[in-house]
Amino acid sequence: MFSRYDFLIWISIAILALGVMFFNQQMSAYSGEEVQVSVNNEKYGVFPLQEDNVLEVEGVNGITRVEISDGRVRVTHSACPDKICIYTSWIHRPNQTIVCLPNRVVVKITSESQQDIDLYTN
Amino acid sequence: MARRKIFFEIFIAIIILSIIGVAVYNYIDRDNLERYSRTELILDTIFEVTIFVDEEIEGDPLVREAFDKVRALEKVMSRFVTNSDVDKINQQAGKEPVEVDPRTFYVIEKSLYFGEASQGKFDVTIAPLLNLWGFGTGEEREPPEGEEIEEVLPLVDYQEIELDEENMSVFLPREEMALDLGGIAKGYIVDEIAEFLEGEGVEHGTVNAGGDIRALGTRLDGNPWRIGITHPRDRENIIAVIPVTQEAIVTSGDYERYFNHEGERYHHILDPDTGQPAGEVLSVTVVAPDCITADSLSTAVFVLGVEEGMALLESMSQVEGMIVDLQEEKHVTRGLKDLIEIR
Repeated sequence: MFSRYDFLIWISIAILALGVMFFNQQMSAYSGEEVQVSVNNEKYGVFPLQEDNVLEVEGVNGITRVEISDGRVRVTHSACPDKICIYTSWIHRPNQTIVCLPNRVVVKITSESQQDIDLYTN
Repeated sequence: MARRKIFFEIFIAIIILSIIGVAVYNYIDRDNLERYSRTELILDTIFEVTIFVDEEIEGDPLVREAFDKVRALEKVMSRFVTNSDVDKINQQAGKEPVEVDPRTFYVIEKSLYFGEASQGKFDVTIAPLLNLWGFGTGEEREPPEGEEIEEVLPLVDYQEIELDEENMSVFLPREEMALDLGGIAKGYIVDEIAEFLEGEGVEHGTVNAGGDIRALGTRLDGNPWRIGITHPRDRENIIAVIPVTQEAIVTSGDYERYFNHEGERYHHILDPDTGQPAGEVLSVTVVAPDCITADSLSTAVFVLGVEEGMALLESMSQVEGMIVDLQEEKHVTRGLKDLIEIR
């Protein structure tokens, strides 16, 4: 049914198809986890999760200090009365957030890829 | 021998064709639906709408319209917005009935239903107590004296709310009484937004008001949405995962809103009978067909505690849930046991 050359053509098509699948998968699994910061519903900045950093975010009442360290994020200082954002402590998974309502600061870990957990309910 | 070779070649050909088929399908499927998402601080929480739609539906305007609806509903139901329905009801307490939006009427009617179901542990007339404690006012400080609480407690009784369906009016018979729909309006608004999006043809998406979640359909891959339940004492990690499809899920925890005073932690879920923060459990998660049910039941069960809370959850049809008690023990309703992944 197949000649040897037919066979080679079929095999190369299959390898090509596998290659496309692998590429797609890689693209969607590309972690690229980022820390998105917004103030008062406006985008403030996007920072890589894997680069240690300390951000002094100017909120509506003053500074919210955001620390990125070892692939985790937390708020260490905030111009707000209740400090809920500080007590939230570290987050490290995509879709997790830290919110400071009084200072209107939101810190969220984002990722392009499909995560194990879609949303968190506290 | 020759026949065997032909079978082998057909076999190989089928494998090759299916690989190509899967690759093509994957490629097409991925490009089919576009993701649109928007997050805003509103309703005193973080509100997020995410939808997946094909190119026939314009995602951005749709999501923006959803937020316009949230803002409109907040204007009607928040007690902190001057001239909202709830503000007017509170202003006119002891004076005269107030005609309200049918949606406000519906939410108050529902709140009475959940008040009955929870033997009064869910009570929307709790506002005077919340004010006394300073929750919701932004100035949270030291706990009130027992005497002060005793004075305010008689004002808290949902059974005194007078509803007049004919005139769509609401009346609080005593002057110092006040409504707070905080434990239920968020759930209702999430439902309204979810149903609006469904009406516009959205089949996959989520509406999330600070952990009050309603899922539309499934994830894009056809699997249920996977909801992580935050660990009540280790917030970086999760205590369980619950898969949901076309359902709402809400968690109430003692760590969401609270203040510390002299080493004690005082959280915002108050027991309407004692006037004190409810102290029997750490968190309650409720899964229900709609978010108004999940929202009010999570608060009610939190106050009821493990035994009565579990009984209430088991007694309601299509409602499931999990209670985490003070020893971090997890109590799961029968219908959820096979679905939940405890971490």
